[in-house]
Amino acid sequence: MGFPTEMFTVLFALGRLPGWIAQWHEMIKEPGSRIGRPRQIYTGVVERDFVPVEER
Amino acid sequence: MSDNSVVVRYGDGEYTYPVIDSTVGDKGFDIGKLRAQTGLVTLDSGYGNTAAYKSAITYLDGEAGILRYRGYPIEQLAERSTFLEVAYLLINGELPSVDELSVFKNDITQHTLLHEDVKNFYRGFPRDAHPMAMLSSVVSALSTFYQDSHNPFDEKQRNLSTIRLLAKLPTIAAYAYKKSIGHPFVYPRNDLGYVENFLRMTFSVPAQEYEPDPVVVSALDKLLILHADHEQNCSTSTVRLVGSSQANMFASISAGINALWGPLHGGANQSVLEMLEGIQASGGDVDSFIRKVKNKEDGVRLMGFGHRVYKNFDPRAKIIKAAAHDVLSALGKSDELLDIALKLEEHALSDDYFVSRSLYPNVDFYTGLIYRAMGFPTEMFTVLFALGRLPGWIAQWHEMIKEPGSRIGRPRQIYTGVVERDFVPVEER
Repeated sequence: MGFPTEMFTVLFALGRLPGWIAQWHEMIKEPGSRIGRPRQIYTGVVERDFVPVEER
Repeated sequence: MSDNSVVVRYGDGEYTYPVIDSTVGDKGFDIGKLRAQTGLVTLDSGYGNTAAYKSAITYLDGEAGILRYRGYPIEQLAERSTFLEVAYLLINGELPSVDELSVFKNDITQHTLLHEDVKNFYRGFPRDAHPMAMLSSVVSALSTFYQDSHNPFDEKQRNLSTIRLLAKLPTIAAYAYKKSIGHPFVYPRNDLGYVENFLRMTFSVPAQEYEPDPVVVSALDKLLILHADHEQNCSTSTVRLVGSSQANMFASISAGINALWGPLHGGANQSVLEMLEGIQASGGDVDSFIRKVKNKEDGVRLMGFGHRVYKNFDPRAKIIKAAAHDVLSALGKSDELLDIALKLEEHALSDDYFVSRSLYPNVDFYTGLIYRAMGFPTEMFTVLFALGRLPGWIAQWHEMIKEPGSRIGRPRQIYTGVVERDFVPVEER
């Protein structure tokens, strides 16, 4: 059709648009719909004290 | 019963899933094989029981009122650190040395200018455009100007995008404000610190230079620190999800800004001001408002008190309360809304109805007051939240992209629609 490769994903977006809109409608109309807010498993340092920059 | 695995019984089978340890806080269990083994998926509305990631950036405990970035208590960081140092900490995992901090600050300072053509975007926006829409659009547009830093797997490019975003977001935010009031854009000045520069770009006009009050600078710096990360909240999860498709950092952060724009997320401090305006419009009678709250009258909502996550107290509110009072007395502004707010605060702190229900003034309450006193219109409040949250988004994006075996985020669904039917041409329907 003559589209440059950078336009391929744009054409994908054109096609996907009604799906995005339909899924957005379904989500917003769902009774008791909540904000998406996952949890995490924290694997970092538990606690340490701040050291001023001159002492690092 | 072993405490290092979880057994799921379904049909005739019994399936064992390993418990994943945390260093502190929620442990989880890894259901990676659940669907393959049982044919089941999990349903968890709002992902309230689903750890999206293992993460080593921020720990929070709502019941105990604990918030730590990379292990450092928020109280110590707010009191003794600076926003740029905290940004470095979140993104790199450790506090910077003197040299590292000086290079980081210098890099950011050198990138504060926007490409002149970016101004054309603002010219195209209508004057009443919401600044969050301008913020996310222009951040997304940065990906058109900086195509040399799109590759998420090239460390140099990642770091360049990081510096560009941290440096340019205050300029983008200030320009959005200038557009909304019809004032000329004010260029950044490299001899100023991060917060001073932002305040000057926002509030100075060619006819009048702006001298930031050190109390205001310090309060805003603290506020940015307090908002810098909050683990896997909605906007952060959005940044990670978009980034998991290997979209560039500008595209990912732009999506996060849009998520933050939602009233359930970043709009809380704006709602506080709207509540105060409601009280003012009905004659400014705080006592009568409090009576209505206690009687649970229709349409009366108490905003900025208590917190969904922090059940007993909000560690951020404790810190910012003092700063709020400092700013109000330093600016010495007489403002009916601020008077109403202070009366409301006094009530809430002494009234048993509020105290017994943990309806303490939260971070959004004080944040709204401070921004109001500083002269920001309410539409800008969420923009200031975005400025603060940026290093958290970037840090979480880096962690996601560097995770070995990182995969595209792609949840499942439980299909509840029509199973199958044949297409009927339009004339026959």
